Amino acid sequence: MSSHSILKWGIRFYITLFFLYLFTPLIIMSAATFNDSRFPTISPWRGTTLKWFEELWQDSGMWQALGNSAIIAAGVLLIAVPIGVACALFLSTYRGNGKNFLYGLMLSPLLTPGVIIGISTLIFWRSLGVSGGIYLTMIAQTTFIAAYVMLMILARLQRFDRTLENAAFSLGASHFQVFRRILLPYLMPAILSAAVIAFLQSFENYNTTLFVKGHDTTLTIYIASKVRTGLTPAVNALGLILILITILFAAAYEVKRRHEARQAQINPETDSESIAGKQ
Amino acid sequence: MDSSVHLDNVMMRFDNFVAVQQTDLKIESGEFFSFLGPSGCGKTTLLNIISGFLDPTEGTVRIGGQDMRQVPANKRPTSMIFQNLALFPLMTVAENIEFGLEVRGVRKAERRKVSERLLNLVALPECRDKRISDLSGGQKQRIAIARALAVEPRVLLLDEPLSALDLKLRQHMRTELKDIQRKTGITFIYITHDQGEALTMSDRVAVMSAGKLQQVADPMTLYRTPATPFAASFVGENNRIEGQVVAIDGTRVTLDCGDLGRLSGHTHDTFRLGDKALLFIRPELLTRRTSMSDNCFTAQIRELNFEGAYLMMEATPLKSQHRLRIQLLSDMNLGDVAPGNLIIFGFAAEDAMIMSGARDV
Repeated sequence: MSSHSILKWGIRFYITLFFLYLFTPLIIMSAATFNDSRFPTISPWRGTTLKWFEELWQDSGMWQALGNSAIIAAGVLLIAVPIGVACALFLSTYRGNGKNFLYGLMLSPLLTPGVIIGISTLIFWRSLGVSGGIYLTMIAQTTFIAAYVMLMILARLQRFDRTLENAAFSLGASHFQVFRRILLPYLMPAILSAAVIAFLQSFENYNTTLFVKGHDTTLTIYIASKVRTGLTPAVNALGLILILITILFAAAYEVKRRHEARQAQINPETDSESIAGKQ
Repeated sequence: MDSSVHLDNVMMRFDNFVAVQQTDLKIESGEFFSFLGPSGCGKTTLLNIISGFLDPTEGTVRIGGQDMRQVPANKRPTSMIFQNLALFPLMTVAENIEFGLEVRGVRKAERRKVSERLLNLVALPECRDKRISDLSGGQKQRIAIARALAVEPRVLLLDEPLSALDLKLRQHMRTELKDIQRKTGITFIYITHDQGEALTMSDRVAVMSAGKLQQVADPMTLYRTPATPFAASFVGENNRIEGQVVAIDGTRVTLDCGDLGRLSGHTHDTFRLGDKALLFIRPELLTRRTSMSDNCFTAQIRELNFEGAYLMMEATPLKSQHRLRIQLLSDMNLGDVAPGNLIIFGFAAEDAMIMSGARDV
């Protein structure tokens, strides 16, 4: 066997191992959904059933928690995206002193442990008479999620050609028109991905939320509490549904991307033909 | 309509760096006016002051007689074509052209009429729904012109818009720009470091160096009678020879040029005997002679470049370190014109310009 094929097989083996490491837990978890056992396990297999989906369907606490998570995530999205975009715009144009300080200030919640963000948010707002709950959770999560948004927008802004703004300005556009017609459409893809990231970050957050949730419960908190009070495969059923939804979105995105890539490939060809035809 | 541009005592300083020195200039209505200079000479700064992107440290800009001090860039009767063209990549060709009208609230049907007229003017009517990324360099160039013209500016500002194009296209666009300027009657203010562009298109050219206007003149005057040593060496090719004044006869001055001997030329400056001076003689005005006389020297040919209609050579006069550039018509009987050979060259005193060396920058 040549060293080349050894390398090739080595890489294949490694990749297989890597994907097994990634996906085995998910596969086992999903499979346990269908096991007619009181515990989320695949051995012993006590028969195949769909009853855990039914139990999940009837779990009002879970639905309540899911609803809270969705409301919080939507609220975080609505607060964090405008703040993050505004910070990115400011930092990308501001040339004065203190720019690095402001940048550091925005990023510091990312470097602070989530537990500390949770506790300090709670202590601060308590002293003002605000107790934990859905709204405080939105505020606490926004502190670091806005920083994610800012980083994503800044990355796109770095590639923005500032002369486009001058060009629009010289054609008579007002500052607002320049923003709405030139800058905003350019930033839109980054804003949309930042919104998705913000939503997911909020949805899956546990450690910050734990301190500021008050009497409300989010999905992650609910699942964690179930681990203590007794987990049933109904949680696996929920996990499986979330995985399927994720796969569905990822697949839809990929199909759309390939479609666009194909379109982009077709266009230049037809163009060069039409030019050649004229000459 | 008055679309003249006046610069009254305009000066621009960034911190301690003076980008544009005190400048007074009147650009006539409907003129094709160029600022010519090397990069960093302040010409782009001047253009940004006229467009309103920069406020001058001192002085005022007037367009059509109207003071522009309180008028921001988006309210000035100017529009600009940028060096990188700055077409909006997310809009179609037509949307680009109509943008200036759209932000003014012009109706869609009206806008469409304008963009169709302009697409015809720049000879690209079939491109109206194309995306910017689908255009070639020359097409982008023309769309940028159409977009700038759509807002019916009184003054069009062009910041080296041809520099990204290849030579053939650049030459073609020169005639096209000049043509559009003639058709529209708009004042064109053109920025370039390419003297060929400035000379072929402009009614008048301002040569700039180190933030200062060196000379403002029509292309022919600029080429034939440069006012400063900088203008003499920047516009076209020129041989520069240093010397000391030994004789003055009206406008005719004779210099002692060391190992090149005594050479005469004409001048617009005043000199005293013993002053240091510079003599400029263009490569095409140095001609071949059969015998030695005044303003002649024997030189050895170092290098010979065939340029089609012309032959460009570098020659060193005997006992001298000078390398002179000489241009001969290549249909002449060239015979012994070959590297290493000794040939007698000379020039007429009225073809050589003599300038004071003190003003050299």
